Amino acid sequence: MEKEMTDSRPEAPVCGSDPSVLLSDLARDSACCRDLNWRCDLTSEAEPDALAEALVEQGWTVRCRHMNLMVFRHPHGHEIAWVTSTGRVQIRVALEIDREARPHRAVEIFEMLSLALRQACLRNSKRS
Amino acid sequence: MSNFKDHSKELIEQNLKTLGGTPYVYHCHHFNLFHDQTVEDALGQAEAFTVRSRAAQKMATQLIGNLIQSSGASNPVERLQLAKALFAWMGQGGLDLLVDGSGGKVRGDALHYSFAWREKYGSKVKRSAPIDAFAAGFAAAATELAFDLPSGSLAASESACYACREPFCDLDVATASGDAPALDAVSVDEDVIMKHVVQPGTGLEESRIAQITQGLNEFLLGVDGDQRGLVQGFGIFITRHLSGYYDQTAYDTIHMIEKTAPQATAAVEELFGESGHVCVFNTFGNLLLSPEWEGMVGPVKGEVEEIVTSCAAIARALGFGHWTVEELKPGERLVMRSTSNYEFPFYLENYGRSDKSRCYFFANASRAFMQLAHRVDWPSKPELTQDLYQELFKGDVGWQTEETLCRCKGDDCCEVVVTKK
Amino acid sequence: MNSDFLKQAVEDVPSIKAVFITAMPDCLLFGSWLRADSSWSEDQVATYFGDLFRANREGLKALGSWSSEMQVTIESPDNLVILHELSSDFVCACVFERSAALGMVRLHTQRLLERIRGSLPTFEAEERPRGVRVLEFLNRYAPDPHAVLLRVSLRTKLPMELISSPEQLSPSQVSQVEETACGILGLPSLNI
Repeated sequence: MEKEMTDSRPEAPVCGSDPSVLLSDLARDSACCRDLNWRCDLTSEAEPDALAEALVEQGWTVRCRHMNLMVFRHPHGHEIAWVTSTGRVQIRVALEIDREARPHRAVEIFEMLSLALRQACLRNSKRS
Repeated sequence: MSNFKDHSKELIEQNLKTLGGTPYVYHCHHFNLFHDQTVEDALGQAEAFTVRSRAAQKMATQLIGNLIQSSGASNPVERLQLAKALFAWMGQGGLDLLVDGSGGKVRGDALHYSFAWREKYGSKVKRSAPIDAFAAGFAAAATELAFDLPSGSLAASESACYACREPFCDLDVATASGDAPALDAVSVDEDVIMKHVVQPGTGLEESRIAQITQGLNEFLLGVDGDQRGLVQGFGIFITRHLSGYYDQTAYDTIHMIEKTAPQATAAVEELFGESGHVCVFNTFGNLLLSPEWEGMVGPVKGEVEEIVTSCAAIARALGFGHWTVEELKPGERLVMRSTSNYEFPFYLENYGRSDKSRCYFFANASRAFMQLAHRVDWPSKPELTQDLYQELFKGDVGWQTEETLCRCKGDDCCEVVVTKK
Repeated sequence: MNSDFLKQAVEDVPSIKAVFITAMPDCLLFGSWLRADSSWSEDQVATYFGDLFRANREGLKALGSWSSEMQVTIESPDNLVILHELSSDFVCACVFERSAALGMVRLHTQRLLERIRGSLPTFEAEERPRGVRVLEFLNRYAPDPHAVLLRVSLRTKLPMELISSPEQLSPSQVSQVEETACGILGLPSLNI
């Protein structure tokens, strides 16, 4: 399973021409159920509102907005928790997804996040 | 009524929570499964199902009854809808109640216990006995209240269970047989709690603990379930659960063993205590590693004082009571006190004074604090896997825990002393 | 078994990662060789492969197609594992890199097994008390192994002191413990 993950893992996206905007590789995160939580790091100055806007356009809703934290929820129950102060991102696959399918689903969510990040960066550069 | 936040009340000074006047706490599936497994080990699966479902029925009667009253739900349809929504809000799963005044069928979808059992154990062992006793008791109580039937007149069993590899869970609600245990436990409500708890004290790092507790409380109230009634909070699979259910099932089981098989008393007490380790490792540990914690408090550094005081704050936020850190010598000793917790008020109200300490969860959770504080490499952000659990908690844990004072014995507070072996 | 002997035995075997020799029927590690960078637990691997081989043997016997010359080949994503019965008392597991050609692996395994077989002791296996074996099996396979002895004590109502010294269990207590083990594992009987 680990090997499959590596093979199908998308390239860490670089947004626009700014090499500092980068998502790190996806890795397992601590979870109470196997393969439910995944982590990556958003090493950027990504603008929270722009990223939120891009995720909302994909169908995500803002479940929680705290000073240093944003949690987005997908209609299928998946979540993305982003610690804006440290750049940590936790991808939470919905509980009802079968264990075997969770790594693949995490990759799909990671791809959605990458796409949203690109859109957010593009939007930022247009505005500036 | 689908959001029960407004009916949730925090007894702020005591760090206890009530929902519709009924005490509740947050516990994850690891704890829930382990707790109920101990009841099964002690009583056998069939007897345990009866004890668990009747305890659930008793506690759910208080909860649903109070919420029906406060919401003004006046007819069976409204009342059953309320019960269904409440069950999902508690993270217990989905219930489809096809019942009338004589009982009927209930279809369960993603019920917490069977869903969690299959998630955790399903690939390792095969189960043949149904597990959803809590849902069964809840469904029986909901039916009685919907049709104004006397409490305890119905009972529920489970004829198909997801944990036994059935696609759904099927529960049957019917007239209780003559030998069904009476629902005679005394319910604990706010008045009962206040009768038994004492003035909260302060311990080390009180302002830090109080501040974190407040922040966590805000997050916890915002946690809601998916359409199937599964609740994921802080990346953890949690339930809002009735503490009276844990208390009655644990204490009735322990008393039965003390009476009929005293040679197994040490085993049953240790196993209920072990569920404290299970909870702290899985819930507290994952909460400390969660993005919510990192955003609110900052990344965990791994200092002993930091972990222990953080754990005290988490315990308070989960509704476990007012736990204070009285003394902490890293590597040597921890003294925890509680002027309130979810164990002793129920014990005193239902069984009276005890000649020995009875806060099994508090005593062993405190020991687990020390194990997490000393043995986990927090800065490396480890995965809290079941293999790591075995490494930390199988065999000699290395810390001895003793509840030196207990309200159940008539002491002024509960006190646990954890020392290095 | 002398680890120097195994080290010499694998010297010219390409792509080999580890060798485990398991003493049967108790599935205990008898000897092993691992690459220096390996972090595998020899005891664990030897025990599980012993159990696996036994289950395989019983399954084939049930099909009426067992022979002592049988070997089990496992192709996992990272490893190629060959299990072979050396004698009625020993099972050998050879672990190769996944990229190794299966034909070559079989050839080298055959040579390696001949070397090992020649240096194995012959002895009359002494069967350990069944209670000990039941609890060892349970420890290996029960969910929540940290609590399994307590669970057995609570289910059987036998005191922990007795469960902790299973060699002292009476025959009826052993039956009780075995029935409990089946209940915990959800099995109709234990294959030990």
